[in-house]
Amino acid sequence: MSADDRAGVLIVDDEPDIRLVLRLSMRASQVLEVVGEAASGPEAVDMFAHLRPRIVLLDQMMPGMTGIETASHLLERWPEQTIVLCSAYLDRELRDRAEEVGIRATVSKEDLRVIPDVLESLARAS
Amino acid sequence: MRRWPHLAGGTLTRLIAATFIAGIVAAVVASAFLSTAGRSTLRDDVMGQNGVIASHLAARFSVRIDDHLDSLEMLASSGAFLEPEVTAAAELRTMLRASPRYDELTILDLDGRAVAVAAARSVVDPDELPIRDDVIRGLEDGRFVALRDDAPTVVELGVLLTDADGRPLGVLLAAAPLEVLQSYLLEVDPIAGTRRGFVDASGRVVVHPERDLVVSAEIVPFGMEGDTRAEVVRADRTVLVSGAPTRHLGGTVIVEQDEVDALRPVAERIRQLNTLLVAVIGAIVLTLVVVGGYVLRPLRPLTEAVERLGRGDRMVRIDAPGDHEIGRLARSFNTLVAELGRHEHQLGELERLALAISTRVEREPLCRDIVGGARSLLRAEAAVLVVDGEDEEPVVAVEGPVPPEVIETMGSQDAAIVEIDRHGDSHHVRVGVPGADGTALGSLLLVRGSPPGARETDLLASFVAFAGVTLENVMRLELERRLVDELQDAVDQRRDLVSSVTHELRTPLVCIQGFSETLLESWHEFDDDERRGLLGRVVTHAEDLDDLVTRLLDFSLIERGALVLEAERIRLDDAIAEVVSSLHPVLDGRPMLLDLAEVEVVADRRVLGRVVMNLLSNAVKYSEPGTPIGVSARARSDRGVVEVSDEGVGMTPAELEQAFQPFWRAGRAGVRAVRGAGIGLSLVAEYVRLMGGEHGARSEIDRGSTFHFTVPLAPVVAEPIDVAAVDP
Repeated sequence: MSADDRAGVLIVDDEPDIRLVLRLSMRASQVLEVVGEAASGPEAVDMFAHLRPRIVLLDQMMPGMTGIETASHLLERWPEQTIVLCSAYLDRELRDRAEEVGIRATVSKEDLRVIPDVLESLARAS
Repeated sequence: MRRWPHLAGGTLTRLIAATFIAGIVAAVVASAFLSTAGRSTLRDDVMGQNGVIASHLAARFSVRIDDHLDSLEMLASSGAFLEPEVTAAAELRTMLRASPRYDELTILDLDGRAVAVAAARSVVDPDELPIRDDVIRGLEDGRFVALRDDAPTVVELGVLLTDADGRPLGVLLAAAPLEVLQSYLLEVDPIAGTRRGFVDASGRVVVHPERDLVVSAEIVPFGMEGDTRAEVVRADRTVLVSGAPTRHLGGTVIVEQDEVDALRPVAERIRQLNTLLVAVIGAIVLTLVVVGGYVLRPLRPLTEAVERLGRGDRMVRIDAPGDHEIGRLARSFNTLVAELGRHEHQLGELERLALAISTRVEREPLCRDIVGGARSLLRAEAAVLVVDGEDEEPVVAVEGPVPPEVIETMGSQDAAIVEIDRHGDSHHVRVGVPGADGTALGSLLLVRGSPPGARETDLLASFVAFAGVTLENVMRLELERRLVDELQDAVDQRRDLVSSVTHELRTPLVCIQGFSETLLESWHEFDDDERRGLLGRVVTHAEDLDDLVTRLLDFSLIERGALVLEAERIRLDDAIAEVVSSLHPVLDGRPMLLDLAEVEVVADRRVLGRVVMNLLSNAVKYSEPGTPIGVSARARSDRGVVEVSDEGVGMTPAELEQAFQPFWRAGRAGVRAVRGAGIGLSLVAEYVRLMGGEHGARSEIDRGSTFHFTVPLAPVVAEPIDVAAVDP
């Protein structure tokens, strides 16, 4: 937890520019603070253990471990963790699976602009 | 033994019953005939026989009367009557005592007056006696015989008395009781049941053993002339009378007999005949019953057997040994039932096997079932089925020992026609498995010791026909399954494509949008270098988009066969170098190991560039940052060969096999970058093919992959070549 009491966010996406865009979008937020970036599921799990961010923002489509797989891995150990799944291709099946494993919210990459708002409301609620 | 080929048991029983009834009727009719026609004939016989006796008696009767008259004449001629007035009475008495047969002796004068009388039991005055002129008149040849008018039980015998000169003097008349005569009637041996009597000229029965019958007017119509006979009803019984006239006395000797007695022997004969008839008919009936029983007895088990057969019992047999009709019939029946049982068993087997194969949905198990079924159906030693594969290997199913050379020679066989040929000790039965249109789907061969019979051949043909239908259905099903699988694959691939393409499009778009918005909103928060960096990223992502769209378009064109190449002579090494330099951002500062010989080829410049670009970006994707990437180009025989190698994750042989399939991406865990629409390598394959070259790859896990492709070398004579003609 940072000193100014903002909610820590871990961004997980294999595309560096997407991570950059997300970080830039949260740059001015009073509630959120990007505490780390991971390029894959395993990397995210490793970083999570010592960063302990309030929120994990997971891309679904990644090589190796998918977002859902990474989320279920994390939730198995930290069931109360707030995780948001973000995907370019978001259909009902994926939403249902996300809900099943305990992901709090799913957002489309199309709605990149609303991602900070979603994360902020979740941060306030927790 | 007679044949009864068409007689059922019931008919035979009716026949016997009819015969029995006919026998009884015949007996009754015969009996009635005998007791009417036979009866009258026999009665005539009896009366004729009695008539003969009557004639004989009448003759003897007459002789006896003559004897009486002779003895009277001797008395008369003794001369003692010369002086009748004086001596007659005393003389008569003496004579009467000497002749006890007479009751009375009288001497009449020629006028009929009694001159002297001597009576055995009384004294009679001659003057009181009536004048017997009837006696004088009744003399015939000097003799007189008559029954006394006033006492029919007395017979009077008279002889003429003459003197020494023969002149008539009078008549010596003797009276005797009829009993005297009656004894004469018994002189001939009596016949059982007959009675003899004497009837006078007026028809009176004057001598008869049965007194109550003596005076019976009913005998009156009885004729007096000659041999005669009559039936007379007396005292409620019929009496048969036969008679014969006597001389002298003017009467008739009769022999009569009760009809009952007369016909007793006849009745006896009829009874005997009836008995005989009944015996004969009984014998016939018995014979029929015995014979019928003999016929029916074995027929009964036959009937029962047929009923059991009708109820479906195929184990039924008739035990009727012997060489007679029934025995042969029974054996035929047993053979028939056994055949029927075998036939039904085979049909059941056919049905069972057909049902078994009809549940198969895959070709190879079905072929195994068909072979097994045909083998067991025909009890063959071995069976082989070869099913021609249309676009795949033929399926060969074998059961039992079959030499491989026999299987190799199994050609296509005419559908549903069974051919049998002999091979040493065994027979080969061949039949084509027919499809719905009649053409053969495959050939079936059975190896058997003996050739199959006609029914087995039919059975095999039926089974094979069914097998053919099933086989065709299964083949169609397999084709459909294949098509469905392909369709499903295509659908899956489309969905994956949409998903990947969306991702591929989204990423640059999101980045372009994100960077642009950030710059717009917070332009002043960044310095020039930061702004330039962000804008540079925007440009890169826009280029990515363009590249992606180009690839998708090419992919779509190639899929529709609509991509047109513009072939020209180009320097392969120059083209590659150009691409490498243009891909600088993509290559991400990798060390490039270029080994480019001077090679001139015929190719589409743009397409060639895209092939190299795809291979390079692929190499970058699947290898660690900083690892080198190698590109080489050289001429080999008639083509130019380009190789692109990396030191990346590599591929397994299975992955290598699929690498050029569209939409395939190495999805192994630990593979760093698996981004992309999955069409890069498939596009490479298509591009190369369109340019008339070949492509390939070799790879080793964790050691890297090397992709290569070829393009035709440019001809030595500089001449443009229309590569478009190579288009499919």
